[in-house]
Amino acid sequence: MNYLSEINELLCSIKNDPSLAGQVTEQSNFIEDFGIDSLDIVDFMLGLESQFDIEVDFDAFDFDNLTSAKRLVDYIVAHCTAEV
Amino acid sequence: MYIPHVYWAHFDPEASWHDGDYLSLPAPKGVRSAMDLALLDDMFVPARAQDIALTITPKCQALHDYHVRLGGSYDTHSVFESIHAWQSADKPAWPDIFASMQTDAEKSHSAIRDRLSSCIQVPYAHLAEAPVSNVHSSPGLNAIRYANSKSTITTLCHQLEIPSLGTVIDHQEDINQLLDLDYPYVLKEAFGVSGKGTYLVREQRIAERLVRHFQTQSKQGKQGGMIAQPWLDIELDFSSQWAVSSCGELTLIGLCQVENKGFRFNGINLSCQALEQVVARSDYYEQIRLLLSELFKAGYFGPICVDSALLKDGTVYPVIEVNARESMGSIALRWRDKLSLGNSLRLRQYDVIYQAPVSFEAILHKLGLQGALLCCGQLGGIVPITASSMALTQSSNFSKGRWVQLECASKRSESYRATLQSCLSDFGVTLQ
Repeated sequence: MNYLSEINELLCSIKNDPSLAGQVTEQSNFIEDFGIDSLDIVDFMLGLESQFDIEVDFDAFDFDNLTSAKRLVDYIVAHCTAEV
Repeated sequence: MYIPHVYWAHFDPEASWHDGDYLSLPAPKGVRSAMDLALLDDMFVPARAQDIALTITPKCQALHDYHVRLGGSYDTHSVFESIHAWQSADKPAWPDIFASMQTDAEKSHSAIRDRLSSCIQVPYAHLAEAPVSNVHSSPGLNAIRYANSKSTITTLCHQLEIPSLGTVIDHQEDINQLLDLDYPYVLKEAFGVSGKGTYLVREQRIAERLVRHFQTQSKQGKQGGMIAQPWLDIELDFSSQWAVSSCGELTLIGLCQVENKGFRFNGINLSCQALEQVVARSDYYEQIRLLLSELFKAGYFGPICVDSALLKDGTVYPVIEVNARESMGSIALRWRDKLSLGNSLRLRQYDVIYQAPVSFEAILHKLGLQGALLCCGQLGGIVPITASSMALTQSSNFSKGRWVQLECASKRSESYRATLQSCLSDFGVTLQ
């Protein structure tokens, strides 16, 4: 599974901005680089759940996971694995 | 003898009022208020020339000089001597500054504490941590939270028979009600504001997931605070600004039309005579006075903004939410009075992206050359009212800030915006 590509697709959908396609790299900061804000964040987190078939513990999900795409992918992989 | 009033603003007071035991929408841990939010405090303007605007960082001198030329003189003081000093101290907002006042003996902070205690404070919002001159000058935290909580306001409206379609999710058994509401509806936390703590539920699948989230929180001991409001068919949003004195006297400060885009605040229009007539013909003012009297009985006094709406069927929906604090509407009204501007005044707020700290003085100069700035004797033009949020140095490729301006309207907002964008692009700033 190409996690970055799928996250990028989700990002384009949340921000309703097709021009963001191909923009997400391992170094991407979703807050600073793509302007994910308080209005987007619930949709983004719920979208991650649907996209990767995981269940996020929202009260334990760390903000830092959104400051690096690599960290977010690590989080998703860990939670996908945990549920297998 | 006139005792100076000291004005200070904290634009994220809801974070201070938040109760960790309430239900909350999904949100990552460790989110801090945006830094630029703290630096908007320079737009909260004192009423009189003898009064003081106490800001976290110094107000841009060029902007202040411009305001003084328009007739808006007042004294300015800041907690930190520069934005750099503020960023180095890592104390982003007033609650942090108040906390450090209590724990350290920094000379600069003790001077600020003395000033706050010796002057009559006019805060944008009451914070429990703020030093006050006596216990009667600020309501207690419980009263502040009561007046601002969306669940207590919705409950009060039901009790007072003020039309309100909100559903209060107070107890665990209420949570499943979220599955029975018509879609779409808006979930709001007790102290959500400007989209934060607000979520539009569009479909059953999402409602089911959120119900599981709230049930989990409920098992962990959290409850209450959340409301669900139907998606209203709104013709226009408006707000009324009020002052509740410490003896319970209610004063209407003004009514203004609010421009929103989704949950985002875009601006204020003070010219709304048609709206005023519609509102005056309804039971609006009686209903709001009834509600505010109850808030006073609960111990609250101070500024209040009531968000309301005119629906497309012509009815006035009196209470969408109550913000027991100052608001952008009251800020617009204060600037109108400060600069003796007419009722055609508008306020507009734009998010901006900038690549490096911006010289506000240079922007002002260019806007002046373009003839866009309001000048003495002119009927139209813009008046920027905040500068610092575009002066942050950050590690990322770009920074976000806010541009807030008054429009003394001889032209449409779109025209002023186009002029502004043209000017700002020369400084590497993009309007969003």
